[in-house]
Amino acid sequence: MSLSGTSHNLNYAAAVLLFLIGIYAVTARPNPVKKVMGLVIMETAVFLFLVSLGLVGGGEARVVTPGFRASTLVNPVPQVIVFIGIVIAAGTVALALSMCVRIYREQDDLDHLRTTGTDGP
Amino acid sequence: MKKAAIVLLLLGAGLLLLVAVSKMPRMGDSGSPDKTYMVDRYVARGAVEAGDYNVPNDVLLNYRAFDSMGCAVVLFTAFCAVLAILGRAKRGRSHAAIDVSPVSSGMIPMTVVQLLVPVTILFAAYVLFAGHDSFGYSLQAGLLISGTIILITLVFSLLESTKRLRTGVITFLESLSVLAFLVVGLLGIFLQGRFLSFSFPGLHGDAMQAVRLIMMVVIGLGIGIATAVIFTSTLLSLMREEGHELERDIA
Repeated sequence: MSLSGTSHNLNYAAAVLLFLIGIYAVTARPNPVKKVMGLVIMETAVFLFLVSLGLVGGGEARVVTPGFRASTLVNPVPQVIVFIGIVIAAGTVALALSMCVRIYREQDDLDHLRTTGTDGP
Repeated sequence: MKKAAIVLLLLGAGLLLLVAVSKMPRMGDSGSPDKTYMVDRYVARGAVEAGDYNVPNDVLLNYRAFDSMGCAVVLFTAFCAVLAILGRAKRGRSHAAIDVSPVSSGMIPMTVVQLLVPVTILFAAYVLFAGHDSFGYSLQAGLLISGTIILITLVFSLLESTKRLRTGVITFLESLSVLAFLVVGLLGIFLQGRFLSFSFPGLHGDAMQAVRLIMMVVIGLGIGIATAVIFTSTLLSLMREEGHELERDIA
C-alpha cells in the first residue's frame, strides 16, 4: 500500500485531486450554483483522466498535412470520448443552471433552499 | 461539523484512489491494454478508409459517427428540457417597450462590440471549417457565435437582438444538428445500404475522399449552427420573465 507509483502517473493524481475538490463543492456548499460549479470541476477531472490515458510517449497528436506520416500517434479514441463528453457536460450545465434560475424565480433566495414548500421553515 | 466529516471522508477516498492510481500502468506506455486492437487500425488505415488525414476527426465523424449523433441528440434533448423549464420567449416588436435594455451602455462598450463582432464571427466560421486541418470543431464554433450574440444582447438591448432573429427560422435551426446527421445517415442507406456509411458507389480514390470530407463538413455545419441557436434561445428564454416584471412595474 504505497504511493510510490504516482510520480510518473502525475496526470492521474491531478485528476483525482480535481475530482475530490469537485465532490467537496457539491456536498459542502448549500448554494445550487456552487454545486453546479462542483459538477463542472468533477467533469473536467474525468476528461483530464481520460485524455491522459491515451498518452503515448513521443507520439504526435494528429496528422496535419497529407504527406507527412507520423511515426507514432497519441491514442485518438479518448480524445473523441472527451469531445463528446464536453458536449454532454455543456447540455447538463445548461439544464442545471436553468433549474437554478427557476428556483430563484420561485424562492427569491438561493442560499437557503426550501424543499418542504413555500410556507414555513 | 458536517464539513469536517465531508473532508475526512474525501481524504480517505482520495488516499484509496491515489493508491489505485499508483498501481496503474505507466503513463505513456505504448503496450498498455487500451492501446491495442482497434486503435492500431484507426491510426494505420484511418487516412485511407475514412477520408481525413486528421485521425481524431475521422474517428469522431466516421468510425464513431453514431456516437456523435447520440451526442447531438443529447444536446437537443437537454435544450428541450431547458425550454420546458424556462418557457419559450416571445420577444421583438410586440414587446418593444420592455425589450429596451434597462442598463444603458456607454459609447465605449457599444463601439468596441461593433468593431469586434465581425471579427469574432469570422473567427467562428474559420474554427468551423478548419476543423480537419488545425484545431477547430463544430461545437466550439457554435459556442463562439452564441457568445457573440449574448454579448450583443447585453450591450445593446434585447430588442436589437430579437429584431434580427426571426422566431420561425430559429426554431427550425435548433434541430439542424440532428437533421444533418439524419440526412447524411439516410444518404448512406440510399447510396450504399448502411446508415452513416460514408461512401458513394462508383467513386474511388481522391473523389471518394472529397465526398467523405464534404459529408463531414455538412455534419459539422449542422452541429455548429444548431449549437449557436440553442444557446441563444436559452438566453432569450432566460430573459423572458424579467420583461414581465418590468411590465408590472410600468403598468
